[in-house]
Amino acid sequence: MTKRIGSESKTVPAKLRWKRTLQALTLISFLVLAGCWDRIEVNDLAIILATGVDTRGDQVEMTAQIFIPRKSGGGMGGSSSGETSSSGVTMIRTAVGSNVAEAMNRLQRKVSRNVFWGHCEVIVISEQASKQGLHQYLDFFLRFTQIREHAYVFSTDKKARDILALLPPLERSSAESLREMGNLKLGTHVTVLNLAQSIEGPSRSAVLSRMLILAPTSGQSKFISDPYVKGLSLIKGDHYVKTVTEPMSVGVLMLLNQLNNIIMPIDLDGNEGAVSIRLISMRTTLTPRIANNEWSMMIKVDAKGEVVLNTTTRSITDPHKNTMVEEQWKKKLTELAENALKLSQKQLKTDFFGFSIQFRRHYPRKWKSQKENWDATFENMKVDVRVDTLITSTGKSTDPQGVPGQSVH
Amino acid sequence: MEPINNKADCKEQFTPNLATNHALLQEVLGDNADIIFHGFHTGNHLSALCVYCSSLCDTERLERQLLSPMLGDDFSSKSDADTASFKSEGYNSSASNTGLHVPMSSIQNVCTIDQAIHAILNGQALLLLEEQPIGRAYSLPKSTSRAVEEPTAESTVRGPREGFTENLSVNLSLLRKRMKTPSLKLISSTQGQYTNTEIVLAYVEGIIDPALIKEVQSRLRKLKLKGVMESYYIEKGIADAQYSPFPQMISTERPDVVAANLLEGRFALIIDGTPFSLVAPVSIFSMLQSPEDYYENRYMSLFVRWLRYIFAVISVMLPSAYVAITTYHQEMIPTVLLLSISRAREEIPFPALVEAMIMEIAFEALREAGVRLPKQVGAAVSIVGALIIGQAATSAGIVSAPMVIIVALTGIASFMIPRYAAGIVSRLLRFPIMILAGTLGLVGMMLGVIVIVIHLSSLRSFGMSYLSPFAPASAQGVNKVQRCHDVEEHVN
Repeated sequence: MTKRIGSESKTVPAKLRWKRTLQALTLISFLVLAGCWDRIEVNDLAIILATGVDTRGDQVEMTAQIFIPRKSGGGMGGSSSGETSSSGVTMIRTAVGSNVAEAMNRLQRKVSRNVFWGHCEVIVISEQASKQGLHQYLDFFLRFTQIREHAYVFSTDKKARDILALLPPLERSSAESLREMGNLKLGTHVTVLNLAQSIEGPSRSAVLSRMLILAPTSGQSKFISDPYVKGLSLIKGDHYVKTVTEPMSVGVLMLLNQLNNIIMPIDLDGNEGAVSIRLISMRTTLTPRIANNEWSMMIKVDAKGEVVLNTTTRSITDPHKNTMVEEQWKKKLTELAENALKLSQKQLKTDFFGFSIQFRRHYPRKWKSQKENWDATFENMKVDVRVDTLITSTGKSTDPQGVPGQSVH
Repeated sequence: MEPINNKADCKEQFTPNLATNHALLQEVLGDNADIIFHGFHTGNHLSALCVYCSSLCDTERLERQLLSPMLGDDFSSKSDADTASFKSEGYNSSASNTGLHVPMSSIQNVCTIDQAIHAILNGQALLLLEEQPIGRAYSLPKSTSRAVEEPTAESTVRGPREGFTENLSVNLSLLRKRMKTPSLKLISSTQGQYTNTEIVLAYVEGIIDPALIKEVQSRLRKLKLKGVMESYYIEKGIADAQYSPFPQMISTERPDVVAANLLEGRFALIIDGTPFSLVAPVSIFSMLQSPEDYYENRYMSLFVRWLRYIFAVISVMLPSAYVAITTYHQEMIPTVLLLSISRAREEIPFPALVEAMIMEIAFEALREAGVRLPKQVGAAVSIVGALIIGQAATSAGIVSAPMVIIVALTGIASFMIPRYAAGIVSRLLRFPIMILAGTLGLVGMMLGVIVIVIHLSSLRSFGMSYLSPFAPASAQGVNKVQRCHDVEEHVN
């Protein structure tokens, strides 16, 4: 090629000729590297908002929630918002395959536009599917370039497909409801990346929020409803093992340092009624210790709360009584933590709370030598739970309100 | 003064014979309706000839101040002595020549035909006397300039309201009023074979680099133009890179801007017949400066200046970025925004690039139409444009609403560039970058940016780097560009 050019233009000096050839090649390479043929207009995209993974027999059933970009904000539109899902802005498509990739490929054949996973921010995996091992899904989610690794992962004991089929009345789509709930930190806050890391890490376990479907208002279509958070799904290795619900789930979240947004009723000794405390902040720190070759863990919980309800007849403005409420709350939290620990250490024998990560961080050499015996070590590990509670405020009122004859005194 | 005329005999000197002189002038100027040859006899019966251009000379003053004293009786007695001395000392003695007892101060001796013609066409009245091979040119200009008005292209809220006019002497007076110093030098020259336009090079001695002045003068000398209608004729001729779309000189109609720039070591070219003066050397940051940056609170000025920088980038890149991201990199858009965009784009028949092109071209057309039309009709154009583009096109589903927003924002951004010449560049560069973005995505867009940056960094304005003080970097310079108020610096 260059020879031919050379023979044609002998008058041009060799250096200049090279320069020209290089310039031409550079320009051509720009055309080859990327170009109009890679262009996809927004109109040609089927934007996937959420993905669901279920099983059918030994096959994988994949469900995609696809955004329908029709102008739904017309207002005048239709009064036919009855049971037809015409008001919805999402639809679902399901495909079955021997693995996720195949299912995804078959999914594309059922959609007339380019399936685009770049905005899939929610992944729902049914407990049924996670029983068979999360490894195959996680590898796909983290390998396939389009899927975001910060997509939230949720678990459900129903079919994931049913959750994605919901058309929530409040949010645009059930994907958005799920995402907002993830942001609200109602359960655990787990992304694909977190999930993979915690399964791959020394603790070899994970905790996922478990979603259920709210029963629709009577007379409404069964699709017009919301998903909601109830309990946690515990993953050991990459398999689902157990579901925990309140009060156990509260203890688990507490030890995971992910407890948020909770109001706890506290019974006071020798009193009818209870005091409810809204959690303002909670910090859980794990401190590992190896002394005389004995491995132990110190869990310190700092909780701050405010009183939102006092159904007893006692005023809690008195600091002394306030301390009593704090003591009771402390007792309750300690009990929750210990139950969760028992579940983790004795029943499931799984390090959900990342003790192993702490040991590896603080005692890297000892951890290396004792890695093989970790399961036994963990099961018999001595764990101290120390809870510090503080009531920062007793709310707007001082004395109990609405007690008959109260102001007579 | 360079002799410019196509007739070979023009360098010829005047002869003592008045009739010959008359014939010589008649030969060159004869066919012009506005050139008056007025022959008469003075009070002491000398033949005289007065030649002037009636369209440029103030005829009333000519008659009152020149002709009537010469025709008067008292002229004879005085002028006898004059004529005597004139004859004995010859035309080298200018002291006695000017002593013709004419109540005027601006009198020039003219020896050649060529000088005479030049003087006449500049509005001077030429007086030739019998037996004298020398003429006198009296400056009697007719004032035809408009009043000094507020500059329309560069308005400020705070600051002087005077703007240059088409009249050079008015412009010079505006400048001189601001700089009452002998250091301000105003060097005159002419340009244009047929227009003989006067150009004044202004600079402040002691501040400006003398080499720069030499360079400008040599460039001006090399320039050969047929005519100069506007300052761009000169700018185009003496700029460093004549094929660059970027302006390498500021054109301004504000005397305060010229004065401030002179104080910073720049020079200015004030050109007769146009209110726009040229200032150089400049960098791209001068294009993004408004005089008001120096007239208002410094923090506000700094904020506005940075806003301008940001919007200058927006005005070039925004449509391209939108096209590139929505057609190649959808994952970069926040989810909720993408959903809105996809909903808006659902019924649009064109690809994003075509859509952007349609809108940008329509916008440019509207702007051009609005500028060219008379003011009353211009308003109608903007109404029609806003209605058609903003409303009808979106509701008909031809253009999506986000695109309208993008184009509107781009339009506003390009209006934010205070120098019109620089604003035009941003409008022009937008299109190739948009095509690159539409065909190659963000890679193409960056390619376009790289090409522009390479061009800018190789560009020089009278030896000064166009990206200075950032490239080549100078901490002091950067500081100066960013500190809007360097009044203190002027003082020392």
